[in-house]
Amino acid sequence: MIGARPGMRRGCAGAAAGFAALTAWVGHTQGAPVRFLVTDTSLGLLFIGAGLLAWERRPDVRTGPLLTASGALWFVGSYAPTSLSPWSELGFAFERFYDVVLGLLVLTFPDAGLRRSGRAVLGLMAAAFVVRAASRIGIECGCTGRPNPMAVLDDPRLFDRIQFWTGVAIVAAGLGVAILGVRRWRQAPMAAQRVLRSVVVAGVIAGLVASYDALEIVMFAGFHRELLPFGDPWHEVVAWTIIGLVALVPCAYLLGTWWLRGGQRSIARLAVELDAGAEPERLQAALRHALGDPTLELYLADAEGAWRSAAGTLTGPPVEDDARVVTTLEGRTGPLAAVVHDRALREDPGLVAAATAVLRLAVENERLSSVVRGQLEEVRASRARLVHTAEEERRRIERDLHDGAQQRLIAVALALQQARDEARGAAPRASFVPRLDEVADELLAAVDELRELARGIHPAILSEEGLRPAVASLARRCSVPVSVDVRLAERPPLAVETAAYYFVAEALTNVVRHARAGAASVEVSRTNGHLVVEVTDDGDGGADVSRGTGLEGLADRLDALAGRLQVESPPGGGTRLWAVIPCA
Amino acid sequence: MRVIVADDSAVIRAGVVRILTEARMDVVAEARGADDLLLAVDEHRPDLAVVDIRMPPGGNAGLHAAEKIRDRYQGEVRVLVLSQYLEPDYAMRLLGPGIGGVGYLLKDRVAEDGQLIEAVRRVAEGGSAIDPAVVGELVRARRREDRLLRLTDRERTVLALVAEGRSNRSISERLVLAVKTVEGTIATVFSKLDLEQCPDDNRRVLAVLAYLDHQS
Repeated sequence: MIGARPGMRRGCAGAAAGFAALTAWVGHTQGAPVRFLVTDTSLGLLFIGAGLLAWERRPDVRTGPLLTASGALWFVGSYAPTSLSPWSELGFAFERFYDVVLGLLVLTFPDAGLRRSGRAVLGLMAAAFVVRAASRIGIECGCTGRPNPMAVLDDPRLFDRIQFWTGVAIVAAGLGVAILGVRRWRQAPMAAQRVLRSVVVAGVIAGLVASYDALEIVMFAGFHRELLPFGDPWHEVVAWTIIGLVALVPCAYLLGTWWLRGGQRSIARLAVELDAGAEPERLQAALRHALGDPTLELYLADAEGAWRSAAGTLTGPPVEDDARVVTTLEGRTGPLAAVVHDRALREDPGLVAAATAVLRLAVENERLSSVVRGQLEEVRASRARLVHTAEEERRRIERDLHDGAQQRLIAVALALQQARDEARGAAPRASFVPRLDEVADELLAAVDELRELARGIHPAILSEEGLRPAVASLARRCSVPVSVDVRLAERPPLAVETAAYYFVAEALTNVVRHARAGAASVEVSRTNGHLVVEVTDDGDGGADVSRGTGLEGLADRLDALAGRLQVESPPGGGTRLWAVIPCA
Repeated sequence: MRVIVADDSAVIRAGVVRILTEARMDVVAEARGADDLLLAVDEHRPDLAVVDIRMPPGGNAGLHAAEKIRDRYQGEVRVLVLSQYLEPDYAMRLLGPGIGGVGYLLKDRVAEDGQLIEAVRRVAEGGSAIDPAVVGELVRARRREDRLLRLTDRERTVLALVAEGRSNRSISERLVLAVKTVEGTIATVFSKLDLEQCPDDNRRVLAVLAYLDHQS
């Protein structure tokens, strides 16, 4: 893009300033009144300055270069009143050429295409200016009081006729620009209207001033009369009014360019809104708001390339129509999303580009997080399976120990007892008899230890009899009186049951160890597909799960089953620990 | 005395039968599972069934069969459950309403001299027999309780023996004390624990266990 190179901008700025200085110097040597010089140079510089500023702010749109160019063209006209031939004739010939540039600006600001009506109006205006310039170069008019060195014809009547008709054309085109500008504003979507407002004001002013100026020529060339025959004071008033109005034009364009940046404020807001969550419907609403297009539609493509509307229904790929265009967001492997929006938004490509950039972040983020969510779901499921498998395994080991090893040891103890009895009968004084007694004692100690080991691996009462007896058994072993209320119509799955059991066991251990409680209670119930286990005590309170209370391990086990552990333990107010475990 | 022995392990069943037979008891039937046991009890109407807690068809079928026998024959057929679990809950369940004639003994006692026979006799006489380890488990949990702390060592020992289901006589023999002394100690213990004295041994066991179990 033209303005993307700062060097070019600086070159243009230098050239324009040099041109302005040269023009001012020429005017000064020609004895032009200082008042005129200052006004003329200031206005031209105002255009150039506004143009350069707009150029710098938004190098991606044409406004800056066009405004700068119109400033340069401004100074061309300043040579008309000089007596420097042929500069005077050329200045006269090319005066007000900037009106074409300003017309182009209002109809395309900031970067839109020219419609057919706009092309017609601007074409008419440009043609009229070109014809007028040709007539002013090639025909001797005798209006400067000096002979025109470039003239090939000497026909004042033809000259006047050309001035008249080109003037009429310029009046019509100027009014046309004003009308088209207003129409463009009215048809623009809300967000674009805000941006276009000042630009259209500038365009209307420029169009009307161009028309007025051309109308003066028409009156003079056609009727040899002044447009406002009220004498000098009026000339002065009109001249200053026009100067004031013209001064507004670059300011308005600058303001319009500023508003384009204002559009980026709404993008910042969009980013903030999307920070709160990027569900498709929220995204769509935020985009509608940011781009000021209530008809905007968002479509999202999934990894397989299928399109869905924001509401989630499957659709074909989005299509353009007369009023709406599609802006597609391409990802690395294919389209990510598409925004179907008002064609007019193309007039502010920067805004749309910024909005889609934010949208891309949100959509890619959403895609990533859905991948992560999926993986997390898998990990959670596999962790739950692991916990379940581990529990089954422990249960199996416990059974094997009880039914296998323990039974066998007891059988051995029985056999030993019989052998001992027989030995006592056969050799009562033999030294191995007391040894046999020792072995028998050792054996029974082993049975005892094995029983403890098995119970530590998995509580048989839980798998055999269920949560109620198992919890009651825990309560019995607890040195603090515990009331137990287990309300379960049917048994939960083994893993859930086991998690609940260990939760109660650990909670009661904590009650005994830390709470200095007089009583505790355990309540187990099933509500809404969840097993709710609650352990309360009337002790000191102030329990902290994160401080080595043995509850972290429990929290992990619960987490593996998508369960939650909660603590309520105000200092001095007892402790309430509860676990909620999903069990469908 | 006519006894049925039920255990799915042939070795242990044989061992138990041998011990009972040596004590001149009459083993009228053996059973390998809970269903066999119930059929045999119905057929033989023994004085006592010695039942393994874990038997076919699975789980604690032996315990459930024992509860059935207790309820169906209302003390006419007494039940001693042999268990590998040090689980007060099972013992409490077996004691149930306190009609006596039930026992819960750890299986390894079988291999200890005289333990099985002693429990069998107590249960067969209509008393209760709770394994000392089970009682110990309950007492251990209560050891920090004020009222238990007020008991002397001997009083606590007597309390445990009462909880095991022993009669005053049995306790006096065990501790080599006069029956009168034992009776006095028990009275002190009961008053210290705010328990009501009751003449029936089984109700007494239940009261003590219930106290230890916090259900009072």
